[in-house]
Amino acid sequence: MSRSRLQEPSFLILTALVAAPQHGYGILKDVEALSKGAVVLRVGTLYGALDRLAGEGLVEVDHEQVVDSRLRRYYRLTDSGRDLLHAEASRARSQADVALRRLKTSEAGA
Amino acid sequence: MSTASDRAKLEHSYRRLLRLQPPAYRLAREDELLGVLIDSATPGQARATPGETIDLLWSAARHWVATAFGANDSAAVWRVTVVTCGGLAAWMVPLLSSLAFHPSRHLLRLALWSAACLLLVLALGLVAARRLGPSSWWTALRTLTTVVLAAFAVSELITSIMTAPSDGRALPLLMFVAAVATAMFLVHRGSSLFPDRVPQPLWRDALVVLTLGAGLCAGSTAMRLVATFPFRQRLGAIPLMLLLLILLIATGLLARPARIDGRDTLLILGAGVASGALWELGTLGTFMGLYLEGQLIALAIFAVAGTAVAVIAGRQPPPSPLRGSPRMPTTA
Repeated sequence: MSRSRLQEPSFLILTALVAAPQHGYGILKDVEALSKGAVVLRVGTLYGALDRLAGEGLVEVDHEQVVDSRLRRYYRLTDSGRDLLHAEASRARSQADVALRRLKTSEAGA
Repeated sequence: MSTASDRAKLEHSYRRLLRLQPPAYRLAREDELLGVLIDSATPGQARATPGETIDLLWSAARHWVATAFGANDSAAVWRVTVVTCGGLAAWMVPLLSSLAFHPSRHLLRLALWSAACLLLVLALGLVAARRLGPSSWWTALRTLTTVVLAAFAVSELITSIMTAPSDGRALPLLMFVAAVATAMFLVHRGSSLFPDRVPQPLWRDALVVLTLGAGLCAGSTAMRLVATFPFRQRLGAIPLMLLLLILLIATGLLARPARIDGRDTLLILGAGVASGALWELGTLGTFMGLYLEGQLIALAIFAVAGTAVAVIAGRQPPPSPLRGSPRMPTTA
């Protein structure tokens, strides 16, 4: 069975991990910033998505830290996660390009 | 400004919610989740907000279901939920419409009970369909509608076969054709039930619809036959049940390119049996005394057997463990 497409939260989580490994709270804040506040993940939802992405081999644990007696687990993007994100981003861009071209043609013809 | 007392209360509140998670999940994640929850809390917050509570309760329910199914958030869990909810809804809608013509205090209670259950299963089925793939709510609605119509169609067909002609039910066949046609149209337009399904010819879509419906109805009909009919009629129904099972297996195999494989067929059959038993349980109180003999035992056997079939069919290898996790504790 081929892989289904990414949902928006998963897409944003993978995007948040492109630059560097991040811990749960860092991902939450980054997703909120990336979506300009449109997507605010709850903690249970974030970890549900992280479990799913880890199960599919798209993210993995990078390292763990104890800060102020609290465990922080950092996640990083795997190679297949990077490939999938690249494919999804290219697909979204090509669809957006087609839509914008058609809108432009339609407005020019009107 | 958060006081130490507020912080202790907050931590206690989160820990109480995290205690609802399955033990294995708590062991692996409790400390990490607690840290993120506390980091995300607003200054002065002394307890979990209603939104956080619902999110963590939902997360716990999901993990318990995933634990029971042997898979972590697998599509099988959502698929069996959609099929079970769709099957239940298909049984409730005709009952509600028939109750509308017989207003009495006793039946009104049954109608209210059924309406509340219907809304609940539709909402749950819709959420499950939404989680099946990266689809919109509209696609999720189409998916759930497909399942409801397919189950309804086959159940009408079975009813028309089993009901005496004197009963006056002239419409079932027409309703069967209409429901199959509509469900076929919805499958053909795409639904999220089988996300990687490629478009198929119309006859294959009919097989998809019939497989869904037959799986649901075979379970529920078997349940009703064993639980409610006198022994002699039960024996007479065996050929019909064998025919249904052959139809189920044949359609499942024929429609294989449309992504209904043997595993999905078993899953749908199990969900059908379980949903049939659940529905009988819901209405048992109303008809208590009518066909009570053997009904409770049959209910228990069918509910357990159906759930077991669905669980076994839905079981997938456990997700690969989180890799590359060197413990490097550093105190900042």
